Amino acid sequence: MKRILFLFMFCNLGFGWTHVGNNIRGWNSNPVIFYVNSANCPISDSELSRIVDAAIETWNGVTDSRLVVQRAQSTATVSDFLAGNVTQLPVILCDPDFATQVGSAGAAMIPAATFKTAADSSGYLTSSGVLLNAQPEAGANIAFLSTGQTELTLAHEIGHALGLGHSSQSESLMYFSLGSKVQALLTEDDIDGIVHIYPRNEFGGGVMGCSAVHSLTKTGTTGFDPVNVFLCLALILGSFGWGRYRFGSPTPNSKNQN
Amino acid sequence: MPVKYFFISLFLSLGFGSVLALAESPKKSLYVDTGAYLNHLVQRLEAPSGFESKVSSISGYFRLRGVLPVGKKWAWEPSLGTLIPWKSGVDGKEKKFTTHLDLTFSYPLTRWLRFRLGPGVQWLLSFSDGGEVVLNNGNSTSTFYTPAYASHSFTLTAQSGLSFILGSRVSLNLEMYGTGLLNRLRRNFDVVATLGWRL
Repeated sequence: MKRILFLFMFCNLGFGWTHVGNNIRGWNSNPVIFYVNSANCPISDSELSRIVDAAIETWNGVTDSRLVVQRAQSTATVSDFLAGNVTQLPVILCDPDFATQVGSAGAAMIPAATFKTAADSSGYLTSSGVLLNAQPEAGANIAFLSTGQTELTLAHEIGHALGLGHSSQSESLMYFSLGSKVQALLTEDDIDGIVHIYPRNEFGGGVMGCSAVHSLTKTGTTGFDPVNVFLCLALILGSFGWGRYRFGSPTPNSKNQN
Repeated sequence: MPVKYFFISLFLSLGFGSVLALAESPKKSLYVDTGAYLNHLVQRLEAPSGFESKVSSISGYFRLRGVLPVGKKWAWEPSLGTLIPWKSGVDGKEKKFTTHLDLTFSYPLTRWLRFRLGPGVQWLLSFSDGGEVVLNNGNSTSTFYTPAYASHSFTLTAQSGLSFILGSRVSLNLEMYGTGLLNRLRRNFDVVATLGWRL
């Protein structure tokens, strides 16, 4: 009885993450580059870039995921994006006619939304884009949000553009409502969701992956990571040591079997 | 980067030294370790009030650990452990399964205390049989989807810790798993406390 109680002492926390589509496998590229155009934005280009970087940093911090997100400049327009005439995807754009997409009531309460998410037959995303509410006088215009709320909103929408749907857990970043959240913080639920779509495999290249391990900066650029390479080598040596222990050469006292 | 050189020198000295010592004749024993596993330690410590249990969780941990003495003092302790119970989604369809394969070396600091260090691999498996979920979306609802395929994530880990020898058959193990050690963004630590029983 005590043993049973011991097992059930641990909370079996459920998760509630979903995908935006059936069998979504994310973008078939790494890094995933978000192309940003600050035209028509109620905030400056530098401020938008800083907010996008902060939102990107949120998703770049997941240890068990291979996902790397970066930002680049774009000249794409909202009309081109909605018409399907943009090749550099996903995009982040400011929409001064946001009410056209979500209605007047929506523009009063929705600061951003993700549109035109599509995937190929294998489940890899081929299209997605985030439109920020830049509707003049709209209640949810991002100009009326605090910087933290804008970061949180953008991190949530980037999650959609990466393939995640809404979560049923109210504390999750991917919950449909900001609620009382004040910062872009990934919960375990968000991490589980993004790891499922973008799992990391450190054995994906070279000898046991030793040629494929890299470190990462907050804006998604990568570099050589000597500790990970060393861990990889140590694992190989450990395996070698086990082999030598288990199947090592016979000692002088061993008997030959003829 | 003194931390980097600390890790590298520590792993080099212990790792290579232990491998060279493996030619020695071992005495085998097998332990069953059970205890608690806390993931995302740093995130838990840094989380705002009320969010601690949402950025990390405590699970049970079950592990089989071989102890293979090498030389007079060193021991090689390969182990296979898993978090229990499996983590389930709110609808019961999604499952997450975490396994650790460790190739740990240990060295006696005193008669009753051993230092443990070594590399390992963490395997995360999550899967579901798929399905649709209707959730709130803005001022209405939308259909979202649970995954209909399995996902595998393999991550290199560094494990270090202490084993307190409580008797001829019992040990108390306090360990830490580190991943992405050099990377500020992805650096992660999990903490494990187990009680080991020698079979």
